[in-house]
Amino acid sequence: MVTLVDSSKTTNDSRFDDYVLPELEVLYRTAWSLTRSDADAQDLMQDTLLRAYRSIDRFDGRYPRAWLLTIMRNANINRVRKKKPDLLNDPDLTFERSQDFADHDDPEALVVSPVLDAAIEDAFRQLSDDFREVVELVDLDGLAYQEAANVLGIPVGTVMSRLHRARGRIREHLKQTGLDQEVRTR
Amino acid sequence: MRRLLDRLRGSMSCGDVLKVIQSYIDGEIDADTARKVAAHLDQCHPCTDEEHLYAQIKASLARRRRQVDMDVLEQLMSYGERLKTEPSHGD
Repeated sequence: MVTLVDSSKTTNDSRFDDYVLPELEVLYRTAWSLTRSDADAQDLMQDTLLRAYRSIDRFDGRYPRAWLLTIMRNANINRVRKKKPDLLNDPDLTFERSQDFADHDDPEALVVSPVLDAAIEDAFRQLSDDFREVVELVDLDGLAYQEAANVLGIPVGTVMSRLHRARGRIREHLKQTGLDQEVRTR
Repeated sequence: MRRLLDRLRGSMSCGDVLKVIQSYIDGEIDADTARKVAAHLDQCHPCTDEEHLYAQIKASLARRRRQVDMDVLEQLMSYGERLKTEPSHGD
């Protein structure tokens, strides 16, 4: 009997290592997008990991990221309702904005215009919360449409519609400032 | 007329391509549609401009991607390890 329990625990631990731990970075970025605070993101991560560990034996092994993001969404709803003590909070640990170039197949894409970046940043900040949220999840956090839909608890079609309209507004902003021509003629 | 010819040939019109151009850039369309979009872009300069513009917007936004501090990741990793060793967490 003891051997059976130990064997089951070993399997669950192994599944946790295989399915959960490789997703920590993506999960943390998403947690930060949802909470906008290092302390709250860490709190949300703890909740998510704990829930994932407790339910790993019921997970079928398909789409671990989508499964984890759904857990995170539920944990976040709970967090908003009732704040829990921070167990991992360390004010010295902060996010850093990457200055690195994003991976891209096209070398031309590495020709970066600070003016263009500034204009896009400006347009991004003018987006409504609903639009900015999906842009953050997809373009900054690197989630797929379905994954963003899982986090937000909305249909994937809504994610797509908001994302495309949001980028369309950024495009319009570039057009109004004439910067779209700079991109087109590169 | 061009649209009708496109349909007859099984290829996509500019309007069709522009409807899916962002999903194409995001890698969120099926392989068959992606091939048709790529074929259209090969011979349509205005649509290629649009594709390039949206790709630049996406790349610019991605440059703002947050990097997670390695210390944070290590703390989360050790929290995950603690879950496995503390019996009460498996409830």
